Amino acid sequence: MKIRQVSIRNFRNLRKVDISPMKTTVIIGENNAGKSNLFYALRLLLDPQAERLRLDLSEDDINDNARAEGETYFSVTVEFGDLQKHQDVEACFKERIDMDGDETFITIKGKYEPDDNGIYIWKSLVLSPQGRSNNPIPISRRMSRAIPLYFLDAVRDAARDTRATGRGLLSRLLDNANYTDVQDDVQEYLRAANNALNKGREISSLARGLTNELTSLVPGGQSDIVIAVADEDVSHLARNFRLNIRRRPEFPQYDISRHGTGLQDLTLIAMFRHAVASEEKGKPILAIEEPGAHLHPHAQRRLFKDLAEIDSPVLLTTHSPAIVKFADPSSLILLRSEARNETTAYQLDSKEIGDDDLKDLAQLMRNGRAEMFFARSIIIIEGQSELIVLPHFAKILGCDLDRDGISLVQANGNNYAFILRACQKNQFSIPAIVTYDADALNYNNTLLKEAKRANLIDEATYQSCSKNTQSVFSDRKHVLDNIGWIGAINCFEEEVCRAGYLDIVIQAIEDADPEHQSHSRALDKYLHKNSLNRDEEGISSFISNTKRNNLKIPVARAVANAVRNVGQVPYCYARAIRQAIMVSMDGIPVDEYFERRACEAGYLNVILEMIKLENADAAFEQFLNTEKVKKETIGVVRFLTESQTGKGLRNKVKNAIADAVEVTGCEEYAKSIRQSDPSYISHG
Amino acid sequence: MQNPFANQTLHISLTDKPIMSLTPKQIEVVEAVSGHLVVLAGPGSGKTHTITEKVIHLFKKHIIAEPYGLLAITFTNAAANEMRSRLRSKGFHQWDRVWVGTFHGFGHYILTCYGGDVGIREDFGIIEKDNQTNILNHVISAKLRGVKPYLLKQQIDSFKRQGIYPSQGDSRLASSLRIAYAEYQHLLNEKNMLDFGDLVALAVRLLKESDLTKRLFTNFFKYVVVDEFQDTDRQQLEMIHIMAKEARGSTIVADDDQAIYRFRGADRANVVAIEKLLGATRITLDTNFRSDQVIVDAAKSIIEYEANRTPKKIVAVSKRRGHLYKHEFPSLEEEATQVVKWIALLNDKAKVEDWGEIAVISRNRWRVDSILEKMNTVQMPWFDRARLGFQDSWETTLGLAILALSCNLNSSDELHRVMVAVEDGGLAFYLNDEDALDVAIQVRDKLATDPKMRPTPANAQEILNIAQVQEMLQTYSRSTTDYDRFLKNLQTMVVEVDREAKSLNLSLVEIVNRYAGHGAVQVITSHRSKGREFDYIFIIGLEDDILPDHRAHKKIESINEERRIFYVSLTRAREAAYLTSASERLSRWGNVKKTTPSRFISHIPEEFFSAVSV
Repeated sequence: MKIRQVSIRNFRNLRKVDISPMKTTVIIGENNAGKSNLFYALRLLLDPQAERLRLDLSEDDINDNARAEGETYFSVTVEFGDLQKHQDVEACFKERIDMDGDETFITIKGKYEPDDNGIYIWKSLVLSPQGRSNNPIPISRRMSRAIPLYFLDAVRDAARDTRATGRGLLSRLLDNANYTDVQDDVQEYLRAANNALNKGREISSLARGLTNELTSLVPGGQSDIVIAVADEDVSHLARNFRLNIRRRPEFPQYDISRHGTGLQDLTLIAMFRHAVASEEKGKPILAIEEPGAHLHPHAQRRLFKDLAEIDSPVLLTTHSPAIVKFADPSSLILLRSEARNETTAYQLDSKEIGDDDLKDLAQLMRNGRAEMFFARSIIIIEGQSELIVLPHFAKILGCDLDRDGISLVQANGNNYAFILRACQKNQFSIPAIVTYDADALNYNNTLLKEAKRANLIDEATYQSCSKNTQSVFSDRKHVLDNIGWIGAINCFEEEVCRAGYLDIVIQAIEDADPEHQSHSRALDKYLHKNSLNRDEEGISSFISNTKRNNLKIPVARAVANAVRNVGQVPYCYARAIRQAIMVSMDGIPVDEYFERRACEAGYLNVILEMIKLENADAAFEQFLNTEKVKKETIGVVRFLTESQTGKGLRNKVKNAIADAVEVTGCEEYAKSIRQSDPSYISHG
Repeated sequence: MQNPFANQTLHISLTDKPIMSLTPKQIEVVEAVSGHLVVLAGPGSGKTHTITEKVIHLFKKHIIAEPYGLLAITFTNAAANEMRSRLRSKGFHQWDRVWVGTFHGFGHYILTCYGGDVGIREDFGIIEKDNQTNILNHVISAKLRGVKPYLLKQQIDSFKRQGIYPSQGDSRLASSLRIAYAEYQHLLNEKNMLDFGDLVALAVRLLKESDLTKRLFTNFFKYVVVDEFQDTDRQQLEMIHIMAKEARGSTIVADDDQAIYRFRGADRANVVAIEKLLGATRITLDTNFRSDQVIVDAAKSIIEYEANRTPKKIVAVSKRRGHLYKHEFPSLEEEATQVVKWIALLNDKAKVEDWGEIAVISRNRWRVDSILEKMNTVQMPWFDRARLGFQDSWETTLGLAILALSCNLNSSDELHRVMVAVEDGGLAFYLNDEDALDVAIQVRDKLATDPKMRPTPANAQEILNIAQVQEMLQTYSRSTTDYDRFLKNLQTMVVEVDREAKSLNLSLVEIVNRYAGHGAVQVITSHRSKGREFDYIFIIGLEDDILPDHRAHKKIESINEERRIFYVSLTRAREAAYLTSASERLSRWGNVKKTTPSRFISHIPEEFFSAVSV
């Protein structure tokens, strides 16, 4: 059996969410994105214990925005397919079976809305098949038993699920278990155990004391109080059942709650697997929050494989890239909270994305890059050097890539079109900023090929740049500029050298082999041979043309260490970082926190320059000294909002930031900053 | 977790209890759990009891595994209700696994699910008589001038019984008839309506043409039970054949001696046909638990007169002799006077607890008029369900149950009656026993707490309003057409309750009881008497042109059928049967017609009759 489609409307922050689950579906999203709500909605419809959940519903569970627009319901719709393979399930829904080729399926829907008297009620229905004119029918108990949803929540309570009382998994498993063959024996032993316990001196005196108290309360009371190991009534025996775990045969057994949370997790999932295998009435579905959060990486991987092997649909939420890395890319669901109180679900559309892309994505995820799917935006970078240095650049720009959810993704061998395709609007919709080394444009058309494969340019444009003409470099550059790709001057090394890190780079080359100075000598030899100097051009030519790849990382490390002192960010990387942050923040709202946000978005130095340009340096330094604040975001913000000089600058600062935003390639965001009402300045 | 022992106790009580009160033959029927079985069951042989036991047995032995189910087809809704109520009284509650109803009901059920596969909408309505007559008249005036509407209807019904539709270009249809038939179908279709005949004919087509429908329903119904198979027509035979063929087994109950629906296209040869088609084993139930000896013997002597029948023994269980009387009266008037006297006498001597244990049976509806007039003059209560002023269906049953409850709010019997009505309304499908009881209790609470509640006939509508019946109907109807029909029937019933209570001067309790078949002599035709039983019966109008009907005289098959009608009528009696006739009656044209007693009376040896004093 499979779940073909889940559609949620107006439930809490899930205003309109449509997903197509796979055999194992991995749902990721930031906190509050609505992962739990998604499961809650499914449970309302499918959990055998849903009655209790439905009692807690109220009008407040309807999405606020929907209510503001006059919609007075929320609904959950689930399509179950491949029923032709499960005749027993098909039989339960025989009145409303729909067909799709040879596949039979059903659509069931739960809706919470006011009845004729205006009282909000929940209704579960099997919808009428497409094209038929009969009415939906209510879901009977037998129907809901045919497709039960087992839910394991994030704060799993192993004790609850491994007790035979209540509604835990064990009680469901034990439902049909018969132990009459041993019940007499067990009763005898329990009596013996209770007797043994009550032979204890203190225990028996406590029991006697209690009995005396009771006797005085009960007229003619014959009741005895006994302190017991267990109830002796065999008809209640099953209530005392629990799962104990023994790590080794010679160890004593302990209750599961006394073992580690990791083992508890595994036990619960084993119980579920057993439930699936032994389930006679219908096909269960497992929804599990944060599986394996408590497990070490190998166990996590094992767990994921175990879950994937369950012959039943499994939905799980996770924050763990280690779990995600084993998922099928098309089974990934990204929940992102976009507008206020509204979450959107993103999933790859396999029809558009193609098998090859899916394979490449799977490979990328296996290689540990699954993290990018948790990102709010990604920056595609050429290699290891940028990976080392960019976070430091970001820091002196005043921003934090982790805080803003920005992932750096290496363009492995210039094959990243599939990443861009997966990130497109109708797919995962993750904004991707591409950086590249412009020297590549001299040699081949590979970058344009990637752009073409990512559907960013058309075939004709690509072809027009494929011939080695005089102007091929500028032609290619022009095309890439148009699609917003950001090129480094020749390569990373040249770019940083030009930005003021030349000495640092030379030092790094010399330091790479301090004993023999082999690199240093090789450098001089190379420069001499090619009539180059120890300048930006010479250094980058040396590193890239002599294939001294083993120098790249030492150089990058040295630059990274120097960033704080040098205080410079090469233009192209600053632009990439700012652009990534701008899209991940979805613009900077112009309000009383505008300057603070602008600093965090990487425009601190823009403001500092502005202060210098306006000759307010002295006033600024004085403010910092009297107030004892540093020349960082906090100092700048306080200067602009508290000092008289600062306040006078605010409007200019705003415009300067708008200009800077525009230069990073975010015209729309720049426009909205410029057009915003400047009243905050006077009120601020 | 549920107490595992609770389950177990239930288990023990179900499995280990010996099947009580069954004959070895009946046990054989019950225990044959796989393969196909044709059970030839004489009148009063306890077939409903046996079938009920069998259904229980099939479930408790898990012959039908979860979640699969059983299909039980009966001939009338009354028989279906009877079967459900017996299953219920045995503690059966898995109503979503047992579908009990008529051929037409089953057809309706599957057509509302997948009717689109045979070109209709699933939300069709069923045409009512008035509407149908309008359509027939319209068709006749446009396409078939001079033909009587009822004849056209008969013709169309007969086509549908054979599965013939006008579009098929069948050579059996004359072209003018085909055009009229096509027009009739077109008009029905325009109104999104089906007639009764469509329910079976289209359902059979659906099972044949829609692989999905056939798979879903034959797969679900692992066992098929059919009653009164001798009265099935060709389409019904086909329906059962399709449904039973791939089932784990089936039990088809029939009595070819009781085949009395030839005029409706029934073919008693179907019994032999289905036996062959399914390769069924035959078991005969020949013990009569109902009637006293002399009645069984008389019935035997009547039916054995037919040459061409499967020979069957009938053995009476009753140790009492019973009574058989016959008398030929000179006139209808005298017959009526004496019959009414006899009935009064039975009542005076307290031979019966309830007027309802006495039935007056006649071959046709008009011959009984003189008796009714007489009963009216002496103010003897009588009741003829066929003369009911409203349609007897589940919503009126529910309405009457609620009215009954309103008269006696503390009665658990009446509460149960409401619950049963709730459950029978097809809601059994969605609710279990407990929920139906909840509904019933809610109804009672509403009645008990409303200050406007007065249990009088004039107040019937108010009572139903208090019980919020309208909301119930809305919840339980599957379409707005259903709902409209429910509501209309119920309103007609309320008006009728008030009218009849006024004219007979009855209280609400009395009128409700009357509709339940109590407190009044039951007046009934031979055909409708099938499946019923009474302590005392009066078969009146036993003249040779009435039973056998004068139109049947020429054909041996028709005479045979008439004989079976007599046989069915006679076997309704438990203790005594009175066979009366009049030697003279006024014909429809006003002249005196001399008649002789029915030839069938002479099939009964003289010594079986007791002497009568007139």
